Amino acid sequence: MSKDIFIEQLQRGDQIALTRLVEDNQDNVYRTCLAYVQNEHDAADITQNVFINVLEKVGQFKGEATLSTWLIRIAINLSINFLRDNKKRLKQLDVTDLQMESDDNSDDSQKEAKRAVRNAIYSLPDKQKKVFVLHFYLKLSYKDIASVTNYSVSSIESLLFRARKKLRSLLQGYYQTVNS
Amino acid sequence: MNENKLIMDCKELKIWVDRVNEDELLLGNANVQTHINECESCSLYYKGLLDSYSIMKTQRESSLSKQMSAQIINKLQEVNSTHRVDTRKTLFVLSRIAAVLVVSIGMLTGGLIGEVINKEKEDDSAAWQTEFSLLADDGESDLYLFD
Repeated sequence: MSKDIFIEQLQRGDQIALTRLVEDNQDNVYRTCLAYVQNEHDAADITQNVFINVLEKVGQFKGEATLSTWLIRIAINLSINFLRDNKKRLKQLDVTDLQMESDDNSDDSQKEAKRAVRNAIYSLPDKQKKVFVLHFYLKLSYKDIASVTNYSVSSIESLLFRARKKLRSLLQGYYQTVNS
Repeated sequence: MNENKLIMDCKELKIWVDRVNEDELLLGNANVQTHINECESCSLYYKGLLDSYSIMKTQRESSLSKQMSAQIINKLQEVNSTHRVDTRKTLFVLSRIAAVLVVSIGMLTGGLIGEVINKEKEDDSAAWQTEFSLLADDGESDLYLFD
Protein backbone atom coordinates (compact mmCIF):
# COMPACT_ATOMS: atom_id res chain seq x y z
CA MET A 1 0.00 0.00 0.00
CA SER A 2 1.40 3.40 -0.90
CA LYS A 3 2.21 5.90 1.81
CA ASP A 4 -0.36 8.38 0.47
CA ILE A 5 -3.19 5.86 0.55
CA PHE A 6 -2.25 4.81 4.07
CA ILE A 7 -2.22 8.41 5.29
CA GLU A 8 -5.54 9.04 3.60
CA GLN A 9 -7.00 6.05 5.42
CA LEU A 10 -5.65 7.37 8.72
CA GLN A 11 -7.17 10.77 8.02
CA ARG A 12 -10.51 9.08 7.41
CA GLY A 13 -10.14 7.25 10.72
CA ASP A 14 -9.99 3.81 9.16
CA GLN A 15 -9.77 1.27 12.03
CA ILE A 16 -7.51 -1.18 10.20
CA ALA A 17 -5.08 1.59 9.30
CA LEU A 18 -5.04 2.75 12.93
CA THR A 19 -4.27 -0.74 14.18
CA ARG A 20 -1.50 -1.15 11.65
CA LEU A 21 -0.02 2.21 12.62
CA VAL A 22 0.20 1.14 16.26
CA GLU A 23 1.51 -2.36 15.60
CA ASP A 24 4.21 -1.18 13.17
CA ASN A 25 5.53 1.61 15.35
CA GLN A 26 4.69 0.95 18.99
CA ASP A 27 8.00 -0.63 19.98
CA ASN A 28 10.16 2.11 18.51
CA VAL A 29 8.00 4.81 20.07
CA TYR A 30 8.03 3.02 23.42
CA ARG A 31 11.81 2.56 23.37
CA THR A 32 12.32 6.22 22.59
CA CYS A 33 10.10 7.26 25.49
CA LEU A 34 11.71 4.71 27.82
CA ALA A 35 15.16 5.98 26.95
CA TYR A 36 14.13 9.46 27.98
CA VAL A 37 12.00 8.85 31.04
CA GLN A 38 13.65 5.58 32.20
CA ASN A 39 10.39 4.32 33.68
CA GLU A 40 8.22 1.65 32.03
CA HIS A 41 4.83 2.94 33.21
CA ASP A 42 5.52 6.53 32.25
CA ALA A 43 6.96 5.42 28.91
CA ALA A 44 3.81 3.39 28.18
CA ASP A 45 1.58 6.37 29.04
CA ILE A 46 3.56 8.71 26.82
CA THR A 47 3.47 6.12 24.02
CA GLN A 48 -0.32 6.16 24.16
CA ASN A 49 -0.32 9.96 24.02
CA VAL A 50 1.97 9.88 20.98
CA PHE A 51 -0.55 7.85 19.00
CA ILE A 52 -3.48 9.97 20.15
CA ASN A 53 -1.52 13.05 19.10
CA VAL A 54 -0.86 11.51 15.69
CA LEU A 55 -4.53 10.64 15.19
CA GLU A 56 -5.58 14.18 16.01
CA LYS A 57 -2.94 15.83 13.83
CA VAL A 58 -2.64 13.41 10.90
CA GLY A 59 -4.40 16.01 8.77
CA GLN A 60 -1.40 18.28 9.24
CA PHE A 61 1.14 15.66 8.15
CA LYS A 62 2.80 17.05 5.05
CA GLY A 63 4.66 13.90 3.98
CA GLU A 64 8.09 15.53 3.90
CA ALA A 65 9.46 12.85 6.23
CA THR A 66 8.27 9.27 6.71
CA LEU A 67 5.43 8.57 9.11
CA SER A 68 7.83 6.67 11.40
CA THR A 69 10.18 9.64 11.57
CA TRP A 70 7.27 11.92 12.39
CA LEU A 71 6.17 9.56 15.18
CA ILE A 72 9.67 9.53 16.70
CA ARG A 73 9.78 13.33 16.65
CA ILE A 74 6.47 13.47 18.50
CA ALA A 75 7.71 10.85 20.98
CA ILE A 76 10.82 12.90 21.74
CA ASN A 77 8.83 16.10 22.18
CA LEU A 78 6.25 14.52 24.47
CA SER A 79 9.00 12.82 26.51
CA ILE A 80 10.83 16.11 26.95
CA ASN A 81 7.56 17.80 27.97
CA PHE A 82 6.93 15.02 30.47
CA LEU A 83 10.38 15.41 32.02
CA ARG A 84 9.94 19.17 32.22
CA ASP A 85 6.48 18.94 33.80
CA ASN A 86 7.54 16.26 36.25
CA LYS A 87 10.93 17.66 37.23
CA LYS A 88 9.93 18.10 40.84
CA ARG A 89 8.43 14.62 41.20
CA LEU A 90 11.42 13.04 39.51
CA LYS A 91 13.87 14.87 41.73
CA GLN A 92 12.10 13.37 44.72
CA LEU A 93 12.33 9.93 43.12
CA ASP A 94 16.10 10.26 43.03
CA VAL A 95 16.19 10.79 46.74
CA THR A 96 13.53 8.44 48.03
CA ASP A 97 11.48 5.46 47.02
CA LEU A 98 13.22 3.24 44.46
CA GLN A 99 10.23 0.94 44.29
CA MET A 100 8.26 3.60 42.43
CA GLU A 101 10.54 3.21 39.44
CA SER A 102 9.64 -0.24 38.29
CA ASP A 103 7.73 -3.25 39.41
CA ASP A 104 10.50 -5.68 38.48
CA ASN A 105 12.25 -7.90 41.01
CA SER A 106 15.79 -6.57 40.67
CA ASP A 107 17.97 -6.68 43.74
CA ASP A 108 19.18 -3.51 45.41
CA SER A 109 22.45 -3.25 43.50
CA GLN A 110 20.60 -3.59 40.20
CA LYS A 111 18.15 -0.90 41.25
CA GLU A 112 21.04 1.36 42.20
CA ALA A 113 22.64 0.70 38.84
CA LYS A 114 19.38 1.52 37.05
CA ARG A 115 19.10 4.73 38.98
CA ALA A 116 22.68 5.63 38.02
CA VAL A 117 21.88 4.97 34.36
CA ARG A 118 18.71 7.04 34.55
CA ASN A 119 20.48 9.95 36.21
CA ALA A 120 23.33 9.80 33.73
CA ILE A 121 20.96 9.93 30.75
CA TYR A 122 18.93 12.72 32.35
CA SER A 123 22.11 14.70 32.79
CA LEU A 124 23.02 14.70 29.14
CA PRO A 125 22.40 18.03 27.40
CA ASP A 126 19.24 17.88 25.22
CA LYS A 127 20.91 17.56 21.84
CA GLN A 128 23.35 14.91 23.01
CA LYS A 129 20.55 12.99 24.69
CA LYS A 130 18.43 13.08 21.55
CA VAL A 131 21.19 11.80 19.31
CA PHE A 132 22.32 9.17 21.80
CA VAL A 133 18.79 7.82 22.26
CA LEU A 134 18.15 7.64 18.52
CA HIS A 135 21.45 5.95 17.77
CA PHE A 136 21.77 3.59 20.71
CA TYR A 137 18.15 2.79 21.50
CA LEU A 138 16.64 2.85 18.05
CA LYS A 139 19.76 1.88 16.11
CA LEU A 140 19.13 4.66 13.60
CA SER A 141 21.85 5.50 11.11
CA TYR A 142 23.37 8.98 11.11
CA LYS A 143 21.34 9.75 8.00
CA ASP A 144 18.09 8.70 9.68
CA ILE A 145 18.99 10.69 12.79
CA ALA A 146 19.54 13.71 10.55
CA SER A 147 16.06 13.19 9.12
CA VAL A 148 14.47 13.12 12.58
CA THR A 149 16.44 15.96 14.12
CA ASN A 150 17.38 18.19 11.16
CA TYR A 151 20.99 18.19 12.44
CA SER A 152 23.81 17.70 9.95
CA VAL A 153 25.63 14.36 9.91
CA SER A 154 28.85 15.98 11.14
CA SER A 155 26.97 17.55 14.07
CA ILE A 156 25.51 14.17 14.89
CA GLU A 157 28.95 12.55 14.94
CA SER A 158 30.23 15.23 17.23
CA LEU A 159 27.20 15.13 19.53
CA LEU A 160 27.37 11.33 19.78
CA PHE A 161 31.05 11.39 20.65
CA ARG A 162 30.44 13.96 23.38
CA ALA A 163 27.39 12.09 24.69
CA ARG A 164 29.33 8.85 25.06
CA LYS A 165 32.19 10.59 26.76
CA LYS A 166 29.92 12.40 29.20
CA LEU A 167 27.91 9.28 29.95
CA ARG A 168 30.97 7.25 30.70
CA SER A 169 32.40 9.97 32.87
CA LEU A 170 29.13 10.16 34.85
CA LEU A 171 28.86 6.41 35.22
CA GLN A 172 32.52 6.11 36.16
CA GLY A 173 31.95 8.68 38.86
CA TYR A 174 29.01 6.70 40.20
CA TYR A 175 30.84 3.37 40.22
CA GLN A 176 33.87 4.85 41.88
CA THR A 177 31.64 6.17 44.66
CA VAL A 178 29.83 2.85 45.08
CA ASN A 179 33.02 0.79 45.15
CA SER A 180 35.16 3.03 47.30
CA MET B 1 49.46 -0.94 24.03
CA ASN B 2 52.55 -1.78 26.00
CA GLU B 3 54.40 -3.88 23.44
CA ASN B 4 56.81 -5.38 25.92
CA LYS B 5 54.07 -6.79 28.06
CA LEU B 6 51.46 -7.09 25.29
CA ILE B 7 48.77 -6.09 27.70
CA MET B 8 47.00 -2.79 28.20
CA ASP B 9 47.80 -0.37 30.96
CA CYS B 10 45.10 1.67 32.73
CA LYS B 11 45.47 4.66 30.43
CA GLU B 12 45.20 2.45 27.36
CA LEU B 13 42.06 0.87 28.71
CA LYS B 14 40.53 4.31 29.19
CA ILE B 15 41.48 5.32 25.65
CA TRP B 16 39.95 2.12 24.29
CA VAL B 17 36.75 2.64 26.27
CA ASP B 18 36.42 6.21 25.01
CA ARG B 19 36.94 5.12 21.43
CA VAL B 20 34.56 2.16 21.05
CA ASN B 21 30.80 2.26 20.70
CA GLU B 22 28.47 0.63 23.18
CA ASP B 23 28.04 -2.65 21.36
CA GLU B 24 31.78 -3.14 21.12
CA LEU B 25 32.04 -2.35 24.80
CA LEU B 26 29.54 -5.07 25.56
CA LEU B 27 31.30 -7.50 23.26
CA GLY B 28 34.53 -7.00 25.11
CA ASN B 29 38.11 -7.47 24.06
CA ALA B 30 40.77 -10.07 24.97
CA ASN B 31 43.34 -7.41 25.85
CA VAL B 32 40.86 -5.59 28.05
CA GLN B 33 40.01 -8.84 29.79
CA THR B 34 43.68 -9.54 30.47
CA HIS B 35 44.17 -6.09 31.99
CA ILE B 36 41.10 -6.09 34.19
CA ASN B 37 42.01 -9.52 35.52
CA GLU B 38 45.14 -7.89 36.90
CA CYS B 39 43.89 -4.41 37.80
CA GLU B 40 41.19 -4.10 40.47
CA SER B 41 40.50 -0.42 39.84
CA CYS B 42 39.98 -0.88 36.10
CA SER B 43 37.99 -4.03 36.78
CA LEU B 44 35.49 -2.11 38.90
CA TYR B 45 35.33 0.76 36.44
CA TYR B 46 34.87 -1.52 33.44
CA LYS B 47 32.32 -3.72 35.19
CA GLY B 48 30.34 -0.64 36.12
CA LEU B 49 30.22 0.49 32.52
CA LEU B 50 29.23 -2.96 31.33
CA ASP B 51 26.39 -3.07 33.86
CA SER B 52 25.15 0.31 32.72
CA TYR B 53 25.21 -0.52 29.06
CA SER B 54 23.60 -3.89 29.73
CA ILE B 55 20.73 -2.09 31.41
CA MET B 56 20.38 0.22 28.43
CA LYS B 57 20.61 -2.72 26.02
CA THR B 58 17.77 -4.47 27.85
CA GLN B 59 15.68 -1.32 27.51
CA ARG B 60 16.59 -1.17 23.85
CA GLU B 61 15.20 -4.64 23.30
CA SER B 62 12.08 -4.13 25.37
CA SER B 63 8.65 -4.13 23.79
CA LEU B 64 5.30 -2.85 24.74
CA SER B 65 3.20 -5.52 26.38
CA LYS B 66 0.31 -6.97 24.37
CA GLN B 67 -2.04 -5.65 26.99
CA MET B 68 -0.72 -2.11 26.62
CA SER B 69 -0.80 -2.41 22.86
CA ALA B 70 -4.48 -3.43 22.94
CA GLN B 71 -5.19 -0.58 25.35
CA ILE B 72 -3.66 1.94 22.95
CA ILE B 73 -5.67 0.61 20.01
CA ASN B 74 -8.89 0.77 22.06
CA LYS B 75 -8.13 4.30 23.17
CA LEU B 76 -7.45 5.37 19.58
CA GLN B 77 -10.75 3.88 18.47
CA GLU B 78 -12.51 5.76 21.23
CA VAL B 79 -10.83 9.05 20.30
CA ASN B 80 -11.56 8.37 16.65
CA SER B 81 -15.30 7.88 17.34
CA THR B 82 -15.47 11.04 19.44
CA HIS B 83 -13.62 12.94 16.72
CA ARG B 84 -16.13 11.74 14.08
CA VAL B 85 -19.11 12.73 16.25
CA ASP B 86 -17.61 16.13 16.89
CA THR B 87 -17.00 16.59 13.16
CA ARG B 88 -20.61 15.70 12.34
CA LYS B 89 -21.87 18.13 15.01
CA THR B 90 -19.62 20.86 13.69
CA LEU B 91 -20.84 20.29 10.13
CA PHE B 92 -24.46 20.37 11.31
CA VAL B 93 -23.95 23.64 13.15
CA LEU B 94 -22.11 25.15 10.20
CA SER B 95 -24.91 24.17 7.82
CA ARG B 96 -27.48 25.83 10.10
CA ILE B 97 -25.40 28.98 10.25
CA ALA B 98 -25.08 28.95 6.48
CA ALA B 99 -28.87 28.61 6.11
CA VAL B 100 -29.49 31.53 8.46
CA LEU B 101 -26.95 33.63 6.58
CA VAL B 102 -28.58 32.87 3.22
CA VAL B 103 -32.00 33.90 4.51
CA SER B 104 -30.61 37.03 6.13
CA ILE B 105 -28.77 38.06 3.03
CA GLY B 106 -31.89 37.43 1.00
CA MET B 107 -33.97 39.61 3.29
CA LEU B 108 -31.34 42.29 3.34
CA THR B 109 -31.07 42.25 -0.42
CA GLY B 110 -34.82 42.37 -0.81
CA GLY B 111 -34.99 45.25 1.60
CA LEU B 112 -32.31 47.13 -0.20
CA ILE B 113 -34.01 46.68 -3.57
CA GLY B 114 -37.23 47.93 -2.05
CA GLU B 115 -35.44 50.95 -0.64
CA VAL B 116 -33.96 51.77 -4.01
CA ILE B 117 -37.33 51.58 -5.72
CA ASN B 118 -38.94 53.78 -3.10
CA LYS B 119 -36.11 56.24 -3.32
CA GLU B 120 -36.62 56.56 -7.07
CA LYS B 121 -40.30 57.25 -6.59
CA GLU B 122 -39.52 59.83 -3.95
CA ASP B 123 -37.01 61.43 -6.22
CA ASP B 124 -39.57 61.64 -9.02
CA SER B 125 -42.14 63.06 -6.72
CA ALA B 126 -39.61 65.49 -5.34
CA ALA B 127 -38.71 66.51 -8.87
CA TRP B 128 -42.44 67.21 -9.71
CA GLN B 129 -42.84 69.16 -6.54
CA THR B 130 -39.75 71.18 -7.24
CA GLU B 131 -41.00 72.08 -10.71
CA PHE B 132 -44.41 72.83 -9.43
CA SER B 133 -43.03 75.00 -6.62
CA LEU B 134 -40.84 76.80 -9.08
CA LEU B 135 -43.85 77.46 -11.23
CA ALA B 136 -45.81 78.49 -8.23
CA ASP B 137 -43.14 80.91 -7.08
CA ASP B 138 -42.79 82.47 -10.41
CA GLY B 139 -45.05 85.49 -10.23
CA GLU B 140 -44.88 86.04 -13.91
CA SER B 141 -47.63 83.65 -14.74
CA ASP B 142 -50.04 85.56 -12.52
CA LEU B 143 -49.05 88.84 -14.10
CA TYR B 144 -49.75 87.45 -17.52
CA LEU B 145 -53.22 86.60 -16.39
CA PHE B 146 -53.97 90.15 -15.41
CA ASP B 147 -52.16 91.71 -18.28
